[in-house]
Amino acid sequence: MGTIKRAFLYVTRKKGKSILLFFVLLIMATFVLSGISIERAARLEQKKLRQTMGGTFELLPEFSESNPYFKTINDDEGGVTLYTERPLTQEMIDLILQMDGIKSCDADTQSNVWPNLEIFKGNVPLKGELNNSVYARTVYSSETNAFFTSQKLQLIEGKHITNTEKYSAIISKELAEKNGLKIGDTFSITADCKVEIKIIGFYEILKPDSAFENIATYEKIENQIFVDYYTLQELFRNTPIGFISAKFLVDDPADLEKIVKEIRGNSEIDWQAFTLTTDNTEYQDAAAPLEKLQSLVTSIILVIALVSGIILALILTMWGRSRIHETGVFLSLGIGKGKIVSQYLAEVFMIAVIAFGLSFFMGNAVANQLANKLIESPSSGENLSNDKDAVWNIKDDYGLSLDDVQVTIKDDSEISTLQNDEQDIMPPEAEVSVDIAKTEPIHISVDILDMLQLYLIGFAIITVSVILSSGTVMRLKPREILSKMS
Amino acid sequence: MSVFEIKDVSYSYDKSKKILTAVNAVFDTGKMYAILGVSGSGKTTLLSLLGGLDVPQKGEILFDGVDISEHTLEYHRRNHVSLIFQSYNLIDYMTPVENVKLTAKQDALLVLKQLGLTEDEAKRNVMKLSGGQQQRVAIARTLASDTPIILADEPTGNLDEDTAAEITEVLKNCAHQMNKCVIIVTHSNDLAKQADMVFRLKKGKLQQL
Repeated sequence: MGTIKRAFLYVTRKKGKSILLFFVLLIMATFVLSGISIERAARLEQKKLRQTMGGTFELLPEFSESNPYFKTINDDEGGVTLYTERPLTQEMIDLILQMDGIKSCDADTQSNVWPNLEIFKGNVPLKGELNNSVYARTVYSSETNAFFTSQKLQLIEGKHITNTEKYSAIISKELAEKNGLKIGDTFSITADCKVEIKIIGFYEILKPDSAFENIATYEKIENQIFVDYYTLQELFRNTPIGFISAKFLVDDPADLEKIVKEIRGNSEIDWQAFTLTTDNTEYQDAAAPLEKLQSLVTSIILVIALVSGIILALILTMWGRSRIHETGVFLSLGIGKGKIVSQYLAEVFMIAVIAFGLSFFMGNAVANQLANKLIESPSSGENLSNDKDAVWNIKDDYGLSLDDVQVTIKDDSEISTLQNDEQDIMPPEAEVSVDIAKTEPIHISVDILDMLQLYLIGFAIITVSVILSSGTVMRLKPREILSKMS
Repeated sequence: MSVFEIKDVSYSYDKSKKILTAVNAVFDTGKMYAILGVSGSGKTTLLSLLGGLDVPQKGEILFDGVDISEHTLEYHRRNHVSLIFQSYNLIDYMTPVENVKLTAKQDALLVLKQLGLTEDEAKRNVMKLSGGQQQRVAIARTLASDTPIILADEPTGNLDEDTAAEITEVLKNCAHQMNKCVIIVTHSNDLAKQADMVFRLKKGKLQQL
């Protein structure tokens, strides 16, 4: 008679023991499975966070004495112009973007230029020609520029500026209408030199300037002209000029350090003239609770596995003592110790297969209950930044300083309250609701991979327990076992 | 021709307590042997050594002229010898047929029927059979295993007189009709009288009577 047949007979004929073992294994499996699925959910949430939030690093020209290319120019009116002979160029950004793991780049710089257009006037009186200037915002890509990604502006016609555009511009719909311009038309802007630029797109203003704020003409949102890198070079033909900063978004914040290390090792960038800073805090803040949870759940799984193993080994040891007779008989019949232990293993495996299978349903329920208590998913990075923007906009709109803004956050009904000592400028609607950190319940479902893991972990626990429990009997000589029998 | 031989076998639990001292014996097929001895004389120890359940400290046990330790003792137990115990040693969660099938190289039900069990008895819970029937199942298990040697440790010890006589007859048939070598360890003179050859184990020495 084979090992499996003997095991089957034992399991089916010793019903009481089999049922007891079934429930022990079912409980063990439910907790292990819940732990596995929660751990997986936490891992997936982290991955999701990494994908939505990303990590950033910023490349900046070094404006300090440590940069040998740093220069200052004093003008006749007492003003000081700072510049570097090694500016941040489009070629450097292209070089970095070729590396693996970098999603996008937001590089820009702003310069006062004088357009041959009728512009919107600000409410701050400025001396001389400055009052007729606007900001030319040179971008590496307008699509990844903060004005557009934060949805302050939105492209409504035409196309975005990219690193391949030359002498192109995106202007506001309002400015276009004021001057009767359409896509494809040209106009000129002047700084050190005059440059003819072609309109390739119009933007719509989604978050207009506040009527309460003092805004100079060149700051007015309707006057902002987005131009490409080549236009900037042409505007300041005789001066080394580039982007004031370049902020790179990486695909996975976990790779940020590795990517930055690789960039720092790039000899094509003169590191005397540039600094590189990283910002992973948003991701780390959001991921920290999930990391803690993941580590907690891993520890819990280990503890459950250990305790289950001990309980199982104790039960099997007790039963093993009552099976000395059987073991002795098998040995006297020439059935080897290995086959006897295999039978004991097969018996527990048979029960475990059913118990683990049923734990799928219990595990689902328990995991969701536990997860609701343990974890709450932070909202996406986009929402977070938008919500922060909302607070900053309110602050700007009502002329408040940072100290005046107090944000009170409640878990489900986030209420942010602006408080200001200057009550006379605080309009009644200043108390607003702002979602700062929305929380969403994480839905956990047990899947086939969790079940596979459970079977692997479970069978490992069972194997160790059976070997440990049968070890005391199996160490004896057959004759000693038969002596114990009698 | 001798199938089984004990050559200068000695065994002791410790230095002061010698159980067997240079024991020699030769066993043939087709005969029933009885080894008599009082309690504690070492009968069961000798049977354990013959059955490959333990190893002698000195000497050797030969099966067909080859030391049984040349193969594994597990091999010896599976292929050369079958054991019958006083307490039957059946597996309680199996039926008689299943118990016999544990080692069967023959039709288990047929062997059980040859030993007087009905088909119904052969398929019921083994623990619900009488002592005599259980011992028949144990004998059936040894017969079905088709080994040339049957070792029996007080096979009639738990049985009434009539049943003991029946079982003794079955064992005699195993030797004489089935050409097995049956070695019985007993303290019963009545059972020993039925054997073809009788040994007495006394003070660690085996003497042929």
